[in-house]
Amino acid sequence: MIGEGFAAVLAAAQQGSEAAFSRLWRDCNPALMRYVRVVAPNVAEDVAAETWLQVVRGLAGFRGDEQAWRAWLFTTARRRAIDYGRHRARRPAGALDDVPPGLMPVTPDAADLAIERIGTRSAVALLAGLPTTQAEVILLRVVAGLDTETVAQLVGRSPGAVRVAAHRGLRRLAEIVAEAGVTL
Amino acid sequence: MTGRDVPDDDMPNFPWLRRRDASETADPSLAAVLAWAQFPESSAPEMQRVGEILAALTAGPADDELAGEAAVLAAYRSRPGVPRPAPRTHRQTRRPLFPLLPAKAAATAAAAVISFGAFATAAYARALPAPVQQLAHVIIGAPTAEGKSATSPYSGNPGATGPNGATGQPAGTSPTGRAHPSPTPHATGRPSTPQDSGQPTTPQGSGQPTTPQGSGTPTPTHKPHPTPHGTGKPTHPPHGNG
Repeated sequence: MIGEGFAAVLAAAQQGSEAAFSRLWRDCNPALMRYVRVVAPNVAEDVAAETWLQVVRGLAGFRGDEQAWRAWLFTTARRRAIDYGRHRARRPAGALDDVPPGLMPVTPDAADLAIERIGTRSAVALLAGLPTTQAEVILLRVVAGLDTETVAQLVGRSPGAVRVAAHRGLRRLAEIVAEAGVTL
Repeated sequence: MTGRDVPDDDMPNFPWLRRRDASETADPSLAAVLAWAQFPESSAPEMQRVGEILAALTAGPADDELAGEAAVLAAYRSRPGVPRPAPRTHRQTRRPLFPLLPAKAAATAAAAVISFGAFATAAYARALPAPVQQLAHVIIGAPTAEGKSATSPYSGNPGATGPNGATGQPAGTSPTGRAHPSPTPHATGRPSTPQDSGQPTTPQGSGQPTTPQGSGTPTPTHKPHPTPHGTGKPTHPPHGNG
């Protein structure tokens, strides 16, 4: 989060300052990548790139504070992820039977991820094992730093439903850790 | 269907039936995790582990998460509706170089046209020195200098003057003043006067080739020109004899 200087950074970026826009990008892109790696794991880089292209196109007309900026960014990413999902649904990939065994994708076991030293990638992989809504709500609350009301508007649910989804997701994470026999 | 006496654990596929929303949102550990508050001492170890997971989600950026900055900045630089400083600066540095060449060429051409125009005007006004006037006569067909036309093979008889001083125009000049390729000893009318073109004129008109010398002797009667040497209109009989 940029904090108090966000308004000045945003204004400079809107007026053409490449350094200011770079600061915005560096502040938000890690969180954006972690979000899209959960909601669109196979096309995360493409979704992130198209998200930033759309943000660049609409940057001059954006008005709002840092919370609104992040809400706009993640709303754009969510819509791009949905578009990619629809596109992939219309054009399904080939059958996995055609893929040689050595090239089969391997999903890391959640328990293994839980007992190892928690890194960012491991945490993202653990979140990806949750139901999509729960994982998305947790990411938007924790990674994007959005409040419950903003997340509710973003995902099209009530604030109460967002709270419930977040707590269910966290409890599921706790269960995964407990099942793995983690002791600190 | 299961009744109220059936434990929730009998429905493993529907776990939400045994976890009410109120109890979930009221869990102090979960609320603390989401609020980034300090974990209570009584927090279960797994909840503390969850806290570590969430902390890892907000850790500093990895290298691959900042890999696409160049592409995004390129898109930022080329976004529509924004002036691009680099090409404009380049154009500004080149602007003084290329537009100067046409300006110089135009100035040179304008000077040449003005000079030639002044030269031609002076030549047709016979304001040039005799050699220069002769040169203008050869080049652009300007009339020769008076009194100096004897040196020209295209000039008429210098003595062919009318009674009022009208002189014979050099033979071989067209009504436009152009040099005629066939020199003739006959004095002809000046192209700028109607006497030369055989139009009815006053007796003061000169240059009528009534004699081989082209004398400007006035005659009371108008005679048609007997020879084809007249430079006036051949269909009209000249009236203005000199």
